[in-house]
Amino acid sequence: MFDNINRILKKENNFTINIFEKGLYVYNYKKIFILDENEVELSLTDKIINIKGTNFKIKKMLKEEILISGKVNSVTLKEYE
Amino acid sequence: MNDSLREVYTHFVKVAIKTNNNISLIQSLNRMNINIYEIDYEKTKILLKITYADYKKIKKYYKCNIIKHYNIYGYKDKFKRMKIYYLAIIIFITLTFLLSRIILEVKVIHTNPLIRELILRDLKDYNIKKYTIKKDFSSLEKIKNEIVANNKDQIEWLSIENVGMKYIIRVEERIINEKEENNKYCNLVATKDGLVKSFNISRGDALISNNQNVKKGDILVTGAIKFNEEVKNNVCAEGEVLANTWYTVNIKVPSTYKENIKTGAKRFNMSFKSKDDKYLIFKPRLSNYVSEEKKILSILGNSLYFTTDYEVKTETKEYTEDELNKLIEDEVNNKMKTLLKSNYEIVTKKVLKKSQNNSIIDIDVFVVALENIAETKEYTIEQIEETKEE
Repeated sequence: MFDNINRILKKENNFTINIFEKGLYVYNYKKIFILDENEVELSLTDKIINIKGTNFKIKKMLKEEILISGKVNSVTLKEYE
Repeated sequence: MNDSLREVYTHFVKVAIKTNNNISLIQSLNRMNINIYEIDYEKTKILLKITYADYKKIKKYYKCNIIKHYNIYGYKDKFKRMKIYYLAIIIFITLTFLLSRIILEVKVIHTNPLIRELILRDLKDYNIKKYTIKKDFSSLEKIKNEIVANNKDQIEWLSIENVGMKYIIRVEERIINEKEENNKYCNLVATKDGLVKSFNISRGDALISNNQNVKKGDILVTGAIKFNEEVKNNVCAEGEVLANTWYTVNIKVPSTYKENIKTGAKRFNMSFKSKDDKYLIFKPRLSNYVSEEKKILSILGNSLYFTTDYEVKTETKEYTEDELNKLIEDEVNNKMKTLLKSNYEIVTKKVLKKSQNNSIIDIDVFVVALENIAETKEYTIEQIEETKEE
């Protein structure tokens, strides 16, 4: 947690993904590519994150942060092609 | 810390946007760089917590309503919406306060009209009159003492009481007992013919007995106190002699009276009553009617009434025997009241003559009354001696 705070304070370009039992939180995302009930795909600084699950609902959406509720089944991190 | 400060000072609003596709709406808001701090999903709409600046941006593209303002802006908005009520409450409280400080009546309680007038005049000089602002307790005390001091020959004591919107002034008149003149001698003489029924003498010698007939001018009670046929002392006789007196009273009463019978038709009107006058607000539409009034509003002695005018048909009816007897009795009582101003009692009355001319009945009534027939009449010692010589 302190690492995260440090990073935020230093304004590093690193991203953070926190997965909870009933949702997930992403810090420092750039764009939303896919957004539906079962899949969310976001672009990060130099990566793409693909989350699959059920009952996805956006709970909070700021410029750099996004909080999604729902059941997460899988998270895939891939490089830009 | 930063976040909480931002939460406090940023103007957040909760807006409702109607949509059938939540996801596409959120995506387009994301493209517009709108920050969403909270999202609630409902069947046909979506509730977003956003900044007021973002609300202004999205309202150009979406039909959205503000449901709630957060923080201090919430109170500001609530105040804006409720300001008419707050204003009404403030006006109401101010008016109530002002009205409760106004005096609508100044009432002086005393039987003597001269004293009442004197007090009212003096109070007016101290600005205690109708439609003025109430004075505080110490001012009233000062005014009260000054009025008593200025009128010490006439006023013994005075109190000014504030009851609701009126001042009640109670006064005690100063009665200066004049010394009785010792050299005043008087008899009680009969003012009219009568049959003595009872007497109550507090000073003097009674020359009468019960059931004795007396004539007008007869001495009833003498001020000359005799012992062994010799006048020992002279006083001013005092007392009351009750005697039966006789009168023939002529009265005229109508044999018929007019009665208004409602036809069932009615019209509504409004009327305004000031202290001296009454005005109808609308022209009456019935030619022959009686009115019933209901007070709606009363301010500073002026009243507004709701009036119901009932159309009536006037019919002439004859008095029944009982009604006529009651009417005759009332008329006789009224006549006797004007004839005998002092205390009296009617012992009997009898109809002597009754005749009818058109609808007027002419009646002569014989009345026996019980009244005080004694009147004080002064005399001098010289007058007594002259009478003796004669």
